[in-house]
This record gives sequence, structure tokens and C-alpha cells, in this order.
Amino acid sequence: MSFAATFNHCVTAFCILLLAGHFGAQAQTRLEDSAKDALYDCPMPPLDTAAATATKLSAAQWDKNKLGCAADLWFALAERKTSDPMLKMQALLATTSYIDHVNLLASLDLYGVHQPEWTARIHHAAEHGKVLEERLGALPVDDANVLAARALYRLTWPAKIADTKTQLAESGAALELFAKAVALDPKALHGNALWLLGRLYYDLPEFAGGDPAKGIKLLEEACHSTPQNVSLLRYSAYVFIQERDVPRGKQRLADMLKMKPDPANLQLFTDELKGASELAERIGDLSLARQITVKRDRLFTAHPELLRRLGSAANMHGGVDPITGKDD
Amino acid sequence: MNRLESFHCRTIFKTAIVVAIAAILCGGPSMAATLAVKSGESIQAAVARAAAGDRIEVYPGTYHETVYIDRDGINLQGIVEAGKWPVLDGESSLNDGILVSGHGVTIERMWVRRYKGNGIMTQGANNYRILRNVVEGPCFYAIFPQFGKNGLVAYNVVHGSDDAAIYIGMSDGVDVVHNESYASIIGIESENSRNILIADNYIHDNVMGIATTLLPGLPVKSADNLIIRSNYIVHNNAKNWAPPGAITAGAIPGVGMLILGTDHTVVDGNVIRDHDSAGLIIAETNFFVPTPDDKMDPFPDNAQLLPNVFLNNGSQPAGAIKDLVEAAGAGRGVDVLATGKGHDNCVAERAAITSLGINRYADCAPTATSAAVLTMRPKDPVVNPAYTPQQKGRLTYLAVCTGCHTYDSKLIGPPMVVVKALYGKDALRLADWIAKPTHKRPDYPEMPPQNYLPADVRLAVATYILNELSH
Repeated sequence: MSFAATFNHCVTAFCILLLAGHFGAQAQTRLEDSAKDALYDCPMPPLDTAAATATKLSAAQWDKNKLGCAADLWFALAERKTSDPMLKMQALLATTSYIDHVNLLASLDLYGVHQPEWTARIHHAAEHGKVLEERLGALPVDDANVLAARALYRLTWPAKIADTKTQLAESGAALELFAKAVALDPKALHGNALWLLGRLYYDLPEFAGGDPAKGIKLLEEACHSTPQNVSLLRYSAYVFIQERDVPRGKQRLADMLKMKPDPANLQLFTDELKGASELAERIGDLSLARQITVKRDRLFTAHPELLRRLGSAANMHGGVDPITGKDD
Repeated sequence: MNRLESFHCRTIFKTAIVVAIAAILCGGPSMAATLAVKSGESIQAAVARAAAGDRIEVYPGTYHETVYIDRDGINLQGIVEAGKWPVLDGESSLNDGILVSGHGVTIERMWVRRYKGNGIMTQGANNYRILRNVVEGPCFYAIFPQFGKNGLVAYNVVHGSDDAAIYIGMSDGVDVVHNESYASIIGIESENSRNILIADNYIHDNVMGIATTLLPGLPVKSADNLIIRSNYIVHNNAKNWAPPGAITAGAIPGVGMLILGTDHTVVDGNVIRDHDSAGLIIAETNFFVPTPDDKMDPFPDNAQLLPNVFLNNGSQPAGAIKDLVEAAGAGRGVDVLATGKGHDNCVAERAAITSLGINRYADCAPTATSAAVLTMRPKDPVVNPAYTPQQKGRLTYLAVCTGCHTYDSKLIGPPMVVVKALYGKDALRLADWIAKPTHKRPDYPEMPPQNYLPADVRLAVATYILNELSH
């Protein structure tokens, strides 16, 4: 079974129509080839083993096809057991995780070489996510984790496929849902709701609900309540450095250096370490940057399947510095 | 003076005393030769014959070739006679018009058209001058100096680029003055560059007028000290035709100027008028380009919006700007739209402009002006490094190969991992093939011959691809 097939072809046709006038046959070929990469095999296992299969696939956080398949399987399971809200939440989280993974791949594809593939993948997953989010939204009782999961989904799905209006509207909705979740339980979604609420306040423009001071306050609260959240540490380091509070930013980076990685989240950990070493380099602490890089490299040696998130050159940009030969 | 006369001068006058006289007779102390290229001849052949410092005069006619200049001090002069120009025509089949990696090169009065990649590109070249050319598309970049110091881009007319028409990339000390740029996605862009003056240009009818950007994922991690002064930035409202996913697909129609993450950017004395979406947008890089790159500071700091003339901007905001304006509760677009991030930014004549998001901007000092800065180029020519074969290989790969190839994906040509697998360590064989490619695969177009590259450069780039290039 290929879940992405139908939509995939639709997107390809649309892109080709759009581009044919300007970029000719070469662009068409590239688009067709890229969109084909959105296909993945995902057979439905027997019902009694489906959850175990999906859980196993979800663990492969470096593999877009396994993550996509995991999301599809969780969705299929949630649709069969319509009375189980926790299963729906699990399915929504798996879908969000997959979209987030593809979003990052798309962000690293600065010149859009694989754009049709990313678009097709996200559209396919977002169809499921929309169904799941609406069903969870119709539940009669508010649950902090469910609210936070819905918020996370609404923040994630539009990033690469929706217009600014939709993104702003969904960000606004996510902000409300996160706030509600945190009011019910400050540690909702393992503390992620609180820091993501802070991040939203910091990131949004001032005329679209942004409030950097409020964001920083929430991030500080989150750092106290969940000090071992690697994404929070990296993001708060970034915020302190942006706000020219380099000592506190540096402290967060040093804290990351001391952290033990969660074996279930090694891809996330190495991704955040990349950001941390870059931040350390930016503030001129090359020793700290080197130590973080060494820590990251050890993980790559032990787990060669992890993605390194390297850029490559395209359209006369990117790649190594041609004078020094160093990667960016 | 032609090449023979020059040789004559060089041969006869040998003593030190007579050399001084020869310098006068031959037209200059360096005894540069002048080579003439007439219609039907090859410009590249003249470049191959030229010595450093020579002048190559190209007479009216149409030339179908790529010109690659890797010698220092070459002066490529188009000769315009009775309104007839020397035309370099890529016929939409060749990739690049003029590629320069030599230092101190001048490209002047050439009409360059229909190259798929770049009209005129300098790559790692210092002390260059690109003057009085006409560059027309369709092309990707019309004039694209990259990785250079001390450049002058002046009095050019450029149009029809699928990205930025004049694109100053990762450069330092460049003046972009007195150009006309129109009918491109971006009229003029300065990307990850320092000490840049963009002044006295006429920029009209593009998707976006001027952009100063700090983009992620590039080797240079800052963009600082830019002056945008006395430009006429008018009616840049063209529809964006970039492919979905391309970085320029994010260029918002109807924007006069964009400051994206660059620091110490002074906007002074420009006329910015008739833009449907906004006159000027100031934002942090990750607001529009969310590619993670924590080595760079994405916020625009120390921007100075000095007195400019803003007229009739924001009447019909489109796309993202429309959405942002609506989110802010404003009824229409504005002269200045900022996301509010950054430190130590200031604005003059606040009451005269319509704006969003500049509440945290201070008032600029009433006496603030950029008038004293006449150039961003250094007083003296910068030192010209002699590039190693390894550096030449990397520079050429970036300038030439990445227009069609990426490391592990199909762009237009096959991925480089496939090339590496095919050729192993046999750089000589790959270098030969680059000069005379044959059509190997039915699912890829035939590669144009890169025989304009000298043998040593072909070998350098082949060696780089096979031995160094990785992901």
C-alpha cells in the first residue's frame, strides 16, 4: 500500500503546469523524479501487532519513510478504535512528529531541489492530522496533554504548505491551546507545552501577538521545571544570546554538554547539539564549540544511521567555503 | 594597439632607459597589449592569447560562447560603433556568459544575453570592475560577483533574471552604483556581504526592488555595514514566477526594499514609491527563511532609516504582506513593515511614514547622514591571492557545476555521487570528459562542453569532485 500515491500525483501535475512556461523539460523531469520520492511502502500488519510495528517504526527518527509509515499505521489504528482518545492523541503526535521531520528536511533544502517530495509528504500527513485534531477537539472534557498535542499539530502542519494567513491563524490557535494546557498542567506533554508557549510569544511579530518579554519569562519557568529538555536548553541559549545576555546563553550550552542523551531521541539530541556548537562558535567560545562537536561526533560514530544535517551546494550557493575548504 | 604592435614594442626596446620611452609609446607603464576580436572570431581564443594586464577589444558582432578569464588585469572592452554592440549570446543553451576568476579584471560595454546561469560572474576575484554592460535574460543571475573584495558594478542595464539581477554574494567592499535593473525577481541583492554601497540606481518593475540579506547555510555568517542611498525604487510589483520551493519563491511581490537580518544597514535619501505591498520590510532572517543556522545572528541590528521619500506604498498588499497587515488589524499596506526584532534600530521622520512594528525603534539623531561615505571600496587595491589548484577546483565547482548538479540529488544533471562512482580516482578522465561531454543517459540532457576552462582548471575541478567533495 502506498498512502502518498494519490496526492503525490496531484501535486506533481500542479507543479508541472506552474513551471512549464518558465523552466522547460528539465525542470519537469526533476519535479517528477522528486515527487516520486514521496512514495513509500507501508503494508498494514495484523491488527494485534500493528501498534508494536508502529512503535518500532516511530523509533527510527532519521528515516522519513519509517516515520511516515508509523504515522499512517497509528492513524489507521485510531480510526478503527474510534472510542479511544489516547490512541487518537498518539496518532496525532506521530503525525506531527513526521511532519516536523519533513519540515526540517525542507528547511535544509534551501534551494527547493526536493520541494515536490516534501509538499506531497506533508499534505498526505496533514489530511490525517486534520481528522485527528478535529476529533480530539470534539471531546467533551479538556485534557492538558490532548490540548498540547493539538496545539503542537496546529503549529507544525502549516509551516511549509500553507500561506501566511493560515500560519498566523494556526499559530494563534496553538497559542490559546498551549495556554489552556499549561493552565491545567504546567508539565503538559512532558513540559513541552510551557516552553513552546514561550517560544511562540518570542517568535511571533509584535503586531501578530508576539511578546518577547513574556516569552522569555515562560522560557525561564520552563527551564526550572524541566531542566533536562535538550530542545528547551538550546532554544533558551539562542534567546539569551539574541538578547545579548551571553553569559546565560553560554551557561545553557554548557548544561547541554553535560547532558546524557535519551537513547530514544538521539536524532533530536544530535540536532540540538549541532545548534549548540554553532551558537558557541557564534559567541566566540571555540573550545566549548569543539567539545560539543566531539560529543556529537561520538554519537555519530556509535549510531551511523543518524542524520548529520549537512548542507550541500546548489545554484552557486552553499557547501564548503571554496577558499578554506571548511564546511559552513 | 594590436597584439603585433605590442610585441614589436616589447622586442625592440630592451634597455632600462628605453623602457621608459617604450612605456609612453606603448600606451602605459605596464606595456599592456591590445588584442582585437572581430565578428566571427572567438573572444575566448583572444583571452587564451592574452597576458596579464592586456586589453581585449571586442568589436560589434554576435558571439556564441562562454568567456572564462582567469588571468589578472584583463580588460575586456566592448567597442560600440554607431549604436552596434558586441553581443555575447548564449541562445538559452549555454550556461554562463563571462566567468572571471582573475583579479583586477574589467568587463565593459558588453551586451550579454540568454545565458541559463549567469550573464557575468566573478568568482573569488578581487579588484574587479563591471561597467556599462547590458545583461538580459532569461538567466538566473545577470551580474553575480561572489567571494570577492573591492568591486565596482556601475552603469549597467540588467533585466530578465529568475533570481537577483545584480547579486553581490559573500563579498566585501563593493559599490553598486548608477545601474538600471528591471523585470527580474529581485533588482539588486546583497547577500552575506560587508561594506556595500548601493546608490543612485534605478530599480523598477521587478518582483522586489532591493534586498539586503543574511541567508543561512552559506560559508559567510554575517552581513554588515551597508548603505542604500539615493536610489529610485519604483513600482516593483511584478508577479513572482520562481518555482515553488526555490528560495526566491519567497520574494514577495510589491516590495520596494527588504532588509533581512543584515546589520548596520543605512537607508538614506531613496525615493521608494508605488509598491503594492510595502515600501520597506525589515525582518529577522528566520521569519522568512527558517533554515537552521545558529552560527549567524538572524536579527537586523543597528538599522538606520534616515529621511527617504515614501510615496503610495501598500495600496494593494499581496500574499504574506496582506496576511501580516490583516493580522495587525491595519486596513492597508504601509511604507515600513518591521517584525520588531533586532537591537538599536532607529527611524527618522517617524510621523511622515506609515508603519507597523517599529514601536521599539529609537528616533535617529537629526544630524545622522551617510553623505560622507562616497565609496565602500578600499582606498587601495586589495592583495590578490594566487589560488591553489584545490581552491580553483572548489571555486569552479561552485561557479560552474552547481548550476546543474548537487551532491546527491538530481537537479538538471546527475548527482555527483554517481559521477564519483563512475570515475573513481581518475580525475584526468573526468577532466577530459568535461571538455568534450557526450550524451550518456536518456533521462538527462546533454551537458554543454566546458572546454572554455583551461586544462589545469578542468583537472582541478575534477580532482575536487572525486577526492574532496562530500556530504
